[in-house]
Amino acid sequence: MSRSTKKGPFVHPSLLQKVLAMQGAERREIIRTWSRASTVMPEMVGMTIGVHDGRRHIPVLCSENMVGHKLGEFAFTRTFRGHKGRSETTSRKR
Amino acid sequence: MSDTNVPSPGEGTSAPDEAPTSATPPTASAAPSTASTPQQPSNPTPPDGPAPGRVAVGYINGIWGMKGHVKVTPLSTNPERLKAGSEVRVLGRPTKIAEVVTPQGYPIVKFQGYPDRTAAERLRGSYIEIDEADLPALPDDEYYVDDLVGLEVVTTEGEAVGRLSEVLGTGANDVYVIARPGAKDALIPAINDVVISVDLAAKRMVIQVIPGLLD
Repeated sequence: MSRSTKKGPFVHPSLLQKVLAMQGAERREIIRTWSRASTVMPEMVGMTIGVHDGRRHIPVLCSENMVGHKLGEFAFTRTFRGHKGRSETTSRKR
Repeated sequence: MSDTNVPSPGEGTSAPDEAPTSATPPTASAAPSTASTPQQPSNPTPPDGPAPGRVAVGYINGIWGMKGHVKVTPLSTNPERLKAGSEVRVLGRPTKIAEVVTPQGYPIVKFQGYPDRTAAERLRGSYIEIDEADLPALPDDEYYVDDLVGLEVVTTEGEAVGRLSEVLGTGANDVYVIARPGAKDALIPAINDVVISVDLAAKRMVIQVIPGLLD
């Protein structure tokens, strides 16, 4: 069953507090959180949030098309070591 | 693990460049075991990686169906790479992709010259490769992961951070894992605010440290 719309999306209160505090600030820093269940809010767009993957905090830059998803969706908890040797995989800077 | 008929990297380099001419799949080398057990398809041992001078674009996990299709794990971010009609190298030989279907979310590929399951069995555990020279040039701000690994990472103040050891995909931005001597690995988001410049020739990446990045 999905969450009641009456309650609104879940964001951990302490995370929301930090996000709102950083909204007005000039200085950008990484907000660390263990709350993988928190929803990406429009206020988080442009912020880098360190999402815990069970071991370390993965820095995730929130963008508009991530709004409504949970933070945990962007920090995988399993490690894929990949294959040996050179492959055609690329990495793009955003 | 070298007692089977997988072409070694050296063999692959010196393999003839002509495509298989008949419908019979090419044998990688003389297979001594096939004489004693002719019914058994020869399963090559998975090679350690693509041959020198080649780049892996896929890995053949297994066989699918009876008509010579194989299950492939893509090792390429180029969506045009695994297409019907593309020329690739399998078991060191130029081979054409006859068909690509995705009935279960991952590519199922059929190669020319492998008409049935028995013929395709010999592909299990091998890499689909292309020549390194065939890699397309990338746009700005996009790099091959293998070129990034090993770069020396320094801050804008010139302070050394460590060496890039791994690239993680997150679904949002990529994350560069920086191995630091005597400290925990640092995770750097691949975003313009942080990664200022990448100089592949000098093997150097300059990052802007923001608060909380290297903690």
